[in-house]
Amino acid sequence: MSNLIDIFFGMALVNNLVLVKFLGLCPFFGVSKKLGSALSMGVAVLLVIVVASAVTWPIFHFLLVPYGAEFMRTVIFILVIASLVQIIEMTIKRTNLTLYNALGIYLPLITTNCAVLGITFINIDQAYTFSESIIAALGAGAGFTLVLIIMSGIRERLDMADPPLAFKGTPIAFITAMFLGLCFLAFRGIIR
Amino acid sequence: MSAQTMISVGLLTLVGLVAGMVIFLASRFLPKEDKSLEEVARIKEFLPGADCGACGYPGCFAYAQAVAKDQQLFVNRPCPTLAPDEEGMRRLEDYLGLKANNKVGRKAVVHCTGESEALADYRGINTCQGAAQVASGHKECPYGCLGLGDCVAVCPAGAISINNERKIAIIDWETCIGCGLCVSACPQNLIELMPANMPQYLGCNYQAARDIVGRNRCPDGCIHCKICVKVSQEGEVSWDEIKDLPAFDKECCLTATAAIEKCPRHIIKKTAAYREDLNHP
Amino acid sequence: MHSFTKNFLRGIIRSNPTFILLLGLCPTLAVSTSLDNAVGMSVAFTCVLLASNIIISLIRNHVPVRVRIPVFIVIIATLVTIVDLMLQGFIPALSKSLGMYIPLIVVNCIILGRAEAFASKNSTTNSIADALGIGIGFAWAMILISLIRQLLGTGKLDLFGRHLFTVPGLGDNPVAIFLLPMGAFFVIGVLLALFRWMGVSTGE
Repeated sequence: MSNLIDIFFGMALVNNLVLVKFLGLCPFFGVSKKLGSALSMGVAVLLVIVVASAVTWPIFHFLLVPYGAEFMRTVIFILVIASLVQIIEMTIKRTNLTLYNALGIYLPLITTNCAVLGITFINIDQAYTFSESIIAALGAGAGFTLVLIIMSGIRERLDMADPPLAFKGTPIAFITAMFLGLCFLAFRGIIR
Repeated sequence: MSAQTMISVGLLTLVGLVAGMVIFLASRFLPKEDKSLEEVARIKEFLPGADCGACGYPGCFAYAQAVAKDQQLFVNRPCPTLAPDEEGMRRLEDYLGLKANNKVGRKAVVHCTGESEALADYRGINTCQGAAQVASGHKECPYGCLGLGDCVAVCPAGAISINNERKIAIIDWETCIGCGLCVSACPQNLIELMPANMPQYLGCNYQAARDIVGRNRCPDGCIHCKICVKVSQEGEVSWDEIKDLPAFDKECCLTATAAIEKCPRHIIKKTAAYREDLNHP
Repeated sequence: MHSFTKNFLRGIIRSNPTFILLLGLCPTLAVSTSLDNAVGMSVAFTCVLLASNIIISLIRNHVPVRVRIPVFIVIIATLVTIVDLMLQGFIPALSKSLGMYIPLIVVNCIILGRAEAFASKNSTTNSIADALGIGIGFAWAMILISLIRQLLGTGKLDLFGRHLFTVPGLGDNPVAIFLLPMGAFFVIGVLLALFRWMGVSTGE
């Protein structure tokens, strides 16, 4: 049990997807301008990461490993993820229009998001069991959402601030990410 | 072709086939796609987009969705924020091909004329919520408007302003969209939503049930003489026993001209919806 | 020939993927801790981009519109697997330090973006020019960032095991933050601001 907690907080805070592992940077800087869209994107990413981990882990361990085809994982995983996103989007669109209006448009963006593929690879490289993979995925998604929300809150304030003209917009967002990352460094001590 | 190549190709084909199959099955067996998404978006264009919740739905998108599903909803329960806007209502009615009933809409009024003196110099937290916690406010009348602007902060239409001499909030009847956010923001429960064709309102909120000993009231306040009720001929003014204040008919919104004239404190005020020609003798 | 040069040069400065288009930042920032990594990643990236542009421009007229994206993704994924395996076999040290960022080239917005926006609509020669241009643009951006990060972060400059020089003073007391992810954000933020100040407009 404590192992699972370690993994969860490790993925969420210590090895935060965006600030430490550099995964999912494109939506991070693209979608984080408003709090509402940031929340929607974060939840969508969380959903896709967990489902993708749940599906790719068995495929790797029961289909690829027995046939000695671990090298196929890049192709197989990306194919599975692309199909998954398609299915999730279709399901949401047909069952709950309000939810679709809230986060459906972000789902196609997640297909080519390094975060999803990255997490599936991490699950394999760290040799997690199935439950550990799910917890890692949950932690990663939660950490991503957290950072996205914080970032969007800061950026909404930044809109009203007055940085030097050359820094306005994206450059100051990067500098902000640096400070955010520095703050998250403080979490390094929580897991041994 | 080595065994390895065949395995790779085989696995890829297998996964591709399975994925395609699942997508196909999902596409077949999920409930049919709700084509009304475009319809909902189009209806939403006509709505004010304030997401105030006055219609009872969580936002304009939800209301548009409900109307797209059942257009009768628009007839029975038109968007209260849109209702006073004749031009906007007409456009939506033309689009839907329906006419809405009771398009009246609502407006907010502040039941206070602000003539009450300040009891002390208030230096605490600069919100009405904060001031109201300290002995029911810093004015002589414990029910009066404190004028610190909690309602101004929440108004999405910018219809409220603070009169600095009398330190009360004034709501502009025309600009108000009737969303009701100010009603919950006021800690003194001074603001009330009225139908948009209500011709008069009471400028006092003094309710004896909450009386505080030793506190004076303002020179304007209601003295509970019930003259307004006595002179009303068609029941346009009745007496609210619980609040001990006059109440106006909200169903028919009758004009209480006599009461307006005869009130000894002149605190029954005309609203912008008051019409001379609708006088009842 | 003119269009070849035009497409080639465009990718280097005017449509620079890192500084102008702001695409594919994940690998750029992640592996730019040392010059070796930068060079290795650039070469791998350019190979994949070149090969994918060529293949996609060759089959562009035979792919049905609706399955376009999945087909592109599978092609790019296959190419990336090939490059990954070759790297693991021939230069295992580089493969180890680049880690999972080589397979992540498959979801690199640049490659899929170029395939979608350019290779599927233009001739093979133009696609080759575009790929080479973008590849070189990516390369010099990566090299610049990793140069700054390595010089300031370790004080020394090494290339493929050969020590080139040491910055006096920094060699013993380097500014370690530049090796951390935060340093990468800082470097690219300042570089973007610098380019904008110099008059080059970034794609916002």
